[in-house]
Amino acid sequence: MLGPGAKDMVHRALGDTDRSVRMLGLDLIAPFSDASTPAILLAALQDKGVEEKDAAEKRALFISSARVAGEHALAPLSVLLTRRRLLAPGTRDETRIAAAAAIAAIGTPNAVDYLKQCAVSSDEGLVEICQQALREAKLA
Amino acid sequence: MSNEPRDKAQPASIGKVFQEELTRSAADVVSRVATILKTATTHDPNNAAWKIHINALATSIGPLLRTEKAALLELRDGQFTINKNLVRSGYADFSAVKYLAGELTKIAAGGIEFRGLPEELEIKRFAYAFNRQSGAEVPDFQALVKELEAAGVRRILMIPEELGLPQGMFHKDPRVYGVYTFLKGIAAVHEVMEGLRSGKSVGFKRAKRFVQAAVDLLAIDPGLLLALTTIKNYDDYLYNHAVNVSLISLVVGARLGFSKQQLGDLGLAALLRDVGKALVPKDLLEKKGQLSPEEWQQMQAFPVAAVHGLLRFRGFNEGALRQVIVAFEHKFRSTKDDRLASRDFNLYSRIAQLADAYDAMTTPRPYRPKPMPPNEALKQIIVDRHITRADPCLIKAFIHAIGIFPVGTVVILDTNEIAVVASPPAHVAALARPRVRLVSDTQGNEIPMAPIVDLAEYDEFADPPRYTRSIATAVDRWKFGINVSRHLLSDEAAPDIGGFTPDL
Repeated sequence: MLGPGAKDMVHRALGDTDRSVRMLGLDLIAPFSDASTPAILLAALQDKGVEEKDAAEKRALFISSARVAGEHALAPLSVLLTRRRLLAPGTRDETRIAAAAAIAAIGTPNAVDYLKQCAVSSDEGLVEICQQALREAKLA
Repeated sequence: MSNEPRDKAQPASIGKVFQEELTRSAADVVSRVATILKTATTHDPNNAAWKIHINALATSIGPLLRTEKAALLELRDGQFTINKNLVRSGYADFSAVKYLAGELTKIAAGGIEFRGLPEELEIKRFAYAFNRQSGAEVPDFQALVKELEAAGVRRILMIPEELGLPQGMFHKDPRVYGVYTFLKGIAAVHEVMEGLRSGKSVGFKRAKRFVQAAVDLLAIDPGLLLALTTIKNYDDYLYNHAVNVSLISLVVGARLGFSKQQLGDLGLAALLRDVGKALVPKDLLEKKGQLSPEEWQQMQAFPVAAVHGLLRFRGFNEGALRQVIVAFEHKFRSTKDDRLASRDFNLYSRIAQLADAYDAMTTPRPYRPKPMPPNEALKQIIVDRHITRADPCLIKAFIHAIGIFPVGTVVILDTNEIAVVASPPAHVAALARPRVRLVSDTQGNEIPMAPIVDLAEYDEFADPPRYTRSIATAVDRWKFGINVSRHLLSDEAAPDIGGFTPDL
């Protein structure tokens, strides 16, 4: 759809300082994606600032990454889902919930298996989040 | 046992009613505060009409104070919240929201806190003190706080900007949001058309979100929506055209006084009107010359195909039914059978048909690479009414909405400057005086980042008094090679979206 100018604009939107523009970019990234889009999204996913985004923006970023990059997004999303830090708070719950939902959105057998494994782990919080994601995606 | 579900349902329903009351009250508070401040600039303290608004403000704050000690109205990222809950204002309240946001921003305030029900006198003192500061050459937030304290206004407190982070309505030029909204529309039509082609059942969600965003922009600047329709693209004509028809229909609908919900329905109906064309081979759509009887039959079949497709869509409801009607009536519009053609069509169909005719005439196509200038297309619609079979009243509303010189028309001014019409005239009494963006100066030199000037500007001190600038003539943009959308939407907002230059 449309020309390279439109795609560039949507790609640029992801790094904009204005949250509204970033959200618009995330909404448009899937229909306007090309070969370079997965790398841009994966970089955004692994960016240190990802935790600072608000819940809605994180969810939009994670889901867009899952839809566009597919299984390539599984590794960075699983890091966000299970990350633990010594002497510091782990990943926030909202981040883990969004990551689980995005892994479910990938929808491949690998991604679903991964979620199912997490859903029987010893981390109670993780179990609840993964079960919820599986239920919402009707994969349970 | 039989009572159990009802008992369970009761609290939820009370909660829902209470929540709805709070939502209504919150929206009312914003609107009332704006009205009171605005009215205080022109009315004296004993004016009866003003008192009505003051009493109404107290009534609106009441429900908010039932569960909280205070009602904290804050401006955050261009939106109002009350006690941290987003205020959902209707389309009709938009100007009030915009006004209040602007006034708060002027005095560097982040919000207003109501600590209990304010008395009439307090509200009056607050309004006058507020207006004094916001109207001052250098508004001073602290001076306002001190003045309110001195006046004994205890229940209305001003919140400083650091806490509220007011940013005005938008962080950026609205044209940037406009172009993204346009892209949203393209993506929505693409999704629907791909759904029709593949036979998959898709939903209206993306399309509805686009229309919603467009209606929001419409409230800010109808000219912006029309400016977006100047983005033309050969390759994706179907998507581009559908979005343009929707945007133009919205501007006409707003002119006719449609409510926000009606505008939403109209925009969606207009957007989906031509989706059946997804099923017509591209070479047939772009065929130069006359269609054979078989090809004509194929073309006539697409609205029916659209209807079948739309009926399969997820989320089918009464609103969707209206889109189906509009798409179906589209078939009769193009029929040669006069009995069907003269039917009394749905108003949405008629508006969309006008918008469709206008956009089709002003867009380059492979079989007609040089389209009509917008003003010529408008003339064609007026003179040759059978194109649209629209009634004169609707044509009149259409002209009032887009002006005699529609947005995108390139004009030469009596000052020898060249300009592009940027937005319709503010008043119908001055239809020939739109606002224009200058392209080149009196010597023909291009003006980068040119300002928008209002042709209704009147120079009273000239001898004799006259309009500062007037349109001498409209010219063909293609002859001058002017990229209209770049001038109207700016470099940041309008990159080479189409990635092509029409070959003329």
